[in-house]
Amino acid sequence: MTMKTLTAAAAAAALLALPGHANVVAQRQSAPAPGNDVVRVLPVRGNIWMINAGGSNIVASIGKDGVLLVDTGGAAMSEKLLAALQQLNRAVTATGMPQKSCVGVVQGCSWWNSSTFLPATAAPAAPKPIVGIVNTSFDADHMGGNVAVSAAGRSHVGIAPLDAWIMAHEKAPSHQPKSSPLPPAAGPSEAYEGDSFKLNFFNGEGVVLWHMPAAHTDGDTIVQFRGSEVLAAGDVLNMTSYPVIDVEKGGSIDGVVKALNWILDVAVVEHMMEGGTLIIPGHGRLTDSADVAYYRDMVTIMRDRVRAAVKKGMTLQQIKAAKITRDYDGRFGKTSYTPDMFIEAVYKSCSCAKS
Amino acid sequence: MPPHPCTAVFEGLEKGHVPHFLPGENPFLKDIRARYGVPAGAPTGGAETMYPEYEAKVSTNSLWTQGDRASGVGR
Repeated sequence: MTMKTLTAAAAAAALLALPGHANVVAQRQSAPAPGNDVVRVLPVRGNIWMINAGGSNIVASIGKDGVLLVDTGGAAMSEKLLAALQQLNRAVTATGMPQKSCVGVVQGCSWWNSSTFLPATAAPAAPKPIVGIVNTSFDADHMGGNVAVSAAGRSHVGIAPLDAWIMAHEKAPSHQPKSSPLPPAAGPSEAYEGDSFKLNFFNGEGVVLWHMPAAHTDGDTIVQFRGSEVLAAGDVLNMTSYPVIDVEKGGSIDGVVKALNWILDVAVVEHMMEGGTLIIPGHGRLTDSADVAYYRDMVTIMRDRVRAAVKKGMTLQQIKAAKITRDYDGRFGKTSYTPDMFIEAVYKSCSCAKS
Repeated sequence: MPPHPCTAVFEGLEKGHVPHFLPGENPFLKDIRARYGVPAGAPTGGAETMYPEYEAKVSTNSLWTQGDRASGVGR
């Protein structure tokens, strides 16, 4: 049995051991939906690529310093992800410069690309390895591939070459159930504390990690690529469903709203068109400020409706029966994370005066 | 490229405030009913309201509230 299959088996065993709501959420996220076990690659801007593996979004910065990944997807997709990454890394390197952007304004005769502004990002002659991984959260669908992907990478700390490092906020792995501890190699080799962490100047741009407390979980990170003007938002932004709020891991509706407002504060719009700061959600399509604003509006309205219902003295069952999400269910309520699950998470985590 | 032409201003609202009506509290939903004198459900009834059978449904009172009758809405 290879290391990859061992990892997948360990992850599956760990998921079966999870209790209650966490089990539902984790199982929803652990394996790709039938027919969705493919890897899709989308050039975002400059060095940044969005890779959708089995429904989970992974962000890759590829250039002269190597490959930096934000999340690694589910364990079941590791092999396909690594194959796609290898192919992509070679393709980017062969062109000698970052690929053209697929989104944004056409300026004159060519697309904007980072080589215009960031000549240091020009890729080297030979592909560099995966150097590091940043996890936006420690959900199975975002860190499931950590062991396999890290083992396929190389980093140098001191003299001896090591596997690619794994970084996350210190709180990210802390809510792991004791019944299903993380395999040591899957956990973060580096952890940061506090509100933010300047990771490094990587592939010609500053990369900053921002902690979003008590949002999807209590250990969420948004990764900001300051040169490419791209944010990797993780699961605080989900274009396929209502935001998954893992209350048992410290998540809360107020934290999600706060995180979405933070994104809107940081993002810069492109006047009268799609583009500007591009935000890569944990699941679903690439977004810009307008998409995040619509999503923020929806989440805020849902929170306010639950607050008002609680204020009226309604119980959780009554709120569920009132179908207060009905007008958004057609857009966000079609996945296995049902509107009732979302309402329950909002009810349990909102700053509502419950009797 | 000129600067962005829009300027953020303070509108007296809390940051992150999203204006919306809670379910059942939107007063503007009654505007069309009042203006054209149609019963509740008719302006938002969807495709069903295109067909003559809908008139019978309205007249059987399923959508016409006692309050509408008293106020003359729909007459």
